[in-house]
Amino acid sequence: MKLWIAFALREGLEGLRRSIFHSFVAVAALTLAVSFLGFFGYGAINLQRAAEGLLESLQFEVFISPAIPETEHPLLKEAIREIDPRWGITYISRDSAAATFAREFDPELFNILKENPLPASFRIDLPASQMQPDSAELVVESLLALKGIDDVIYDRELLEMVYSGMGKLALWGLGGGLFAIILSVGLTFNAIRLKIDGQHESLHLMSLLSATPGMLRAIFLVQGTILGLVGGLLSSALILGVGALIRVSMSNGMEITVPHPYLLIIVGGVLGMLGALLAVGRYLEV
Amino acid sequence: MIRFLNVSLEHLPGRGIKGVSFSIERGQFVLLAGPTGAGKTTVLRLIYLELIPDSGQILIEGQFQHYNRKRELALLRQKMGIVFPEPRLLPDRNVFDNVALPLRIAGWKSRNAHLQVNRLLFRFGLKDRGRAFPGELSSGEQKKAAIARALVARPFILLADEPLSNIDAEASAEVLEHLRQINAEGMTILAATHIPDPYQGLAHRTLHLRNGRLIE
Repeated sequence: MKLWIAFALREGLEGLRRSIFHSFVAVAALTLAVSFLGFFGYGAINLQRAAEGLLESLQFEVFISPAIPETEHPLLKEAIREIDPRWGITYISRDSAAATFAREFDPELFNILKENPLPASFRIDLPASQMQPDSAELVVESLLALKGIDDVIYDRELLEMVYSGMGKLALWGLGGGLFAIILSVGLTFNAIRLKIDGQHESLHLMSLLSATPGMLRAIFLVQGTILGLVGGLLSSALILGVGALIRVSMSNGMEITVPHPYLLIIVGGVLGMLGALLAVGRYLEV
Repeated sequence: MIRFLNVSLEHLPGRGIKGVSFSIERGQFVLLAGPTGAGKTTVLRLIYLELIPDSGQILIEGQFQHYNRKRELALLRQKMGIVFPEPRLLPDRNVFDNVALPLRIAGWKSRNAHLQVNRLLFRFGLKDRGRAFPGELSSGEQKKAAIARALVARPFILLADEPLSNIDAEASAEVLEHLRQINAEGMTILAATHIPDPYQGLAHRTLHLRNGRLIE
């Protein structure tokens, strides 16, 4: 078995070397296809993170009726906690609200008004699973059902925008990813098909000189895998380079991440092998 | 060593062999003679298992062949040296790599393969032509390289189809001398030819084929 693999590796590598121009073209095309897949993948990851960041900043402001005395506010907090213990609840007293308002907007306003018109409130942070337009509406309904809650506000437009954006992103990611996968497999398929066509006589001779069908198939699987691995390697380098360039040119503090770029090497290898497997099954007659 | 028992095969309309029976013993030099289309190449292709008989049995080293066991067929081919009418050297490999090909397939270690190939190249006067590509060789050199490739994996039989075709008289004499030496060392040889004269005094037996039938 070991010697069998050695033969396939040697013949596979020498086959690529002998038709170096053809191999170069195949690697270049595969690099583009795997890079396309990488851009989609890492683009989706970064957009997903950005969307999650936006959702994390989304909070529910729950305003307490002025008719409820301050001494009963802790009871109200407990009632809210009973709705869903996973919610993060922060109490903001009338004084605290006034202080924040004065700090952020107009320190003189309360001197003119003589009275603090701001109600006490709760700020509620929802878990990510409830950050959907329908769930948010249910949250609002359940809060308004409590006695002593005047109003609940949140940025519904932002939530709907992010949610529909993520849906579109998933659809585009799926479509683009599938396209890139089909492109990579198709390119390897074609490259190996051409190699099989070009080596028809050699393969027949090798068969007569005792090469088994498995050995001949393995030559092309090795070639497809190597083309894919090299394409994946160059793609990961390209993605890392582009990621670094974007990071340098971005000034708004948005972070671009490229986690585990070496995954593209493995993905390239697997797609290359898959393309070769299909070409061998279709065109190699032994 | 090799026995044909009433073997028939029509692999193309009107082409093939009919009811052929013969046997070849170890160490013999057997000539398969007959005009073009007589079925000589068919007999060789049946022995090296490229063709499957329509009827009859072929025993190789006492074993009937199971044509569906491809791995076993491959292992059996490893024990046969084949010389084709055309040298069939791979044009994109040099002489050394062409001769070494059966050893690589058989999984010889690189060092041993290197020694064995050099030994054969030396024997056939191709020591200095190892790095040359087939296109740079004369017809005689190509034929000798093809014989070296056939012998490199130490087969038990050499199957040579028209070993003197497309080479000049001088190269023919050289090839015949090599075949004589190889046979003298104990190698069984089955050579197919449509011109048996040059082999006189060399072959132990001649099997005459005509229209796919053996004529003793």
